[in-house]
Amino acid sequence: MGRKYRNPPIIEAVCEFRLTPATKWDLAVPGLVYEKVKGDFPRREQRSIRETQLVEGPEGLLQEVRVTEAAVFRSEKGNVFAQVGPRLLAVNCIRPYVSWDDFKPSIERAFRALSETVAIERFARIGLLYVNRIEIPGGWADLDKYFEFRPFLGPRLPQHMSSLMLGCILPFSEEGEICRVELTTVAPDKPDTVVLLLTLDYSFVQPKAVAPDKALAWIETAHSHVEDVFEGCITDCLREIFHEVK
Amino acid sequence: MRYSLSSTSLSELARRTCTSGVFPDMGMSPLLGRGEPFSFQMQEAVESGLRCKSEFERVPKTRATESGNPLADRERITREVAGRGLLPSSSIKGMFEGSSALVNLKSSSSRGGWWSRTRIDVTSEIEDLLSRVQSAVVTVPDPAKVADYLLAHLDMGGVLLSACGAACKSFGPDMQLSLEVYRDPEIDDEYLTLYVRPKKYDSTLLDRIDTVRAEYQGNLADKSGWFLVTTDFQPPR
Repeated sequence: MGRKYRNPPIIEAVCEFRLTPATKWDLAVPGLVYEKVKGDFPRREQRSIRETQLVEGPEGLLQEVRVTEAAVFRSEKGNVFAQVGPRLLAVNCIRPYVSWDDFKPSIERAFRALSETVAIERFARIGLLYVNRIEIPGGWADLDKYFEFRPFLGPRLPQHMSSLMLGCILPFSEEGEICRVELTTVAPDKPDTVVLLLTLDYSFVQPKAVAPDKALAWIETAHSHVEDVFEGCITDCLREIFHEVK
Repeated sequence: MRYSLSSTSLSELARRTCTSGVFPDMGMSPLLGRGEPFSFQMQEAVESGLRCKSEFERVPKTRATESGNPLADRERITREVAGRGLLPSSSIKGMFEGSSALVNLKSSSSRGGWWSRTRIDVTSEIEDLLSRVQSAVVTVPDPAKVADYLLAHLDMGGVLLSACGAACKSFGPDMQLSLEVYRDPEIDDEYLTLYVRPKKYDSTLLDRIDTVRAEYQGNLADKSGWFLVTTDFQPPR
């Protein structure tokens, strides 16, 4: 069981299932999934998903940007929703994120609906993503005080940063699971506040590594790793800002 | 500040951003000189065409190189990176020297590299959207309110961008364009509003606003939210 906070920084959690290209899929799938989840996600919307990929072509490395349309099924409250696009299911929870125990059943229901609609053989990707918005009061923040994950600036460099963008991929197992950790500054909504986004994205490296019947168990393990990484990234001073419940 | 990388770790990474299109020397030798295989991924021209980024990442020793020939891979990477003018070939050479590492250039999608990303989370997409809107000379006095509106109406991003683009083009930098959420005081309704506030009002303003509206209104038909370009006849704030 992870730590609990009265003022948690999570602004979004996403669980993403991406199926292999061999999976049979057609335009009716989102509608069929909706029929199965409309009790939990009654509100329908549409969203464009932008995908950026680096591909190697005859002239070298090229950036490819694709836009696909996804159906969005929202809960009555609106803060939890399932996105169903071509060979994709994502379940998002935006503020207020209450707890993993609250979020997980939504993932399970949406995943079961997809499994009953499409013959899933393997996954190209399963990912569990958490976006944390960390607001530190004051005109500038001493990163050493708040973060165990922070950039290093050598003594000959200016020690003040106006913005930062830091990333790391942490390996987690011999099977090739990774957690992508990113820390970036964003524009504050109010004056005299430093705002950073700490993004944790846990996934597996080898496509097809997880069997469909093991997917939900894998997510549970991924969540516990994400929790550990999050706690590893911050200090007690930051926990005080989040108001840890002991 | 302390930041050390474990010599047993399989993965380490450095990212740099530059606005000039030319990379500074990365000074990566201490990181790469451990005799372990590492992979290299590179990409330029992220959206704005101004930012260049690079990724250096260790991979397990057992991972095969792309061609099976480390020297050929190294030469190819050097050619590709130097050919794009992103990094002087001497710097690339410097990164390889002092290391017996195999160099592995792979397609990024196979390992979920930094640049093979799908924006499946909506919050960072909205952060991006707002920064793009703000960079287009539009002020957003309360970004949190606008972000909340966009989170509630995920299909409004495209309309917002195109409408702000049309407004910027039509009104130019002399007028203040302020993106706000209008909340109706009498009924439970709210929508995005782009207020046009010139320093000096003249009789052509309303016609110009109508012209901008005509450019985006057709796109609102199937959207869950609403967007309005208008003026409140106030001076710029």
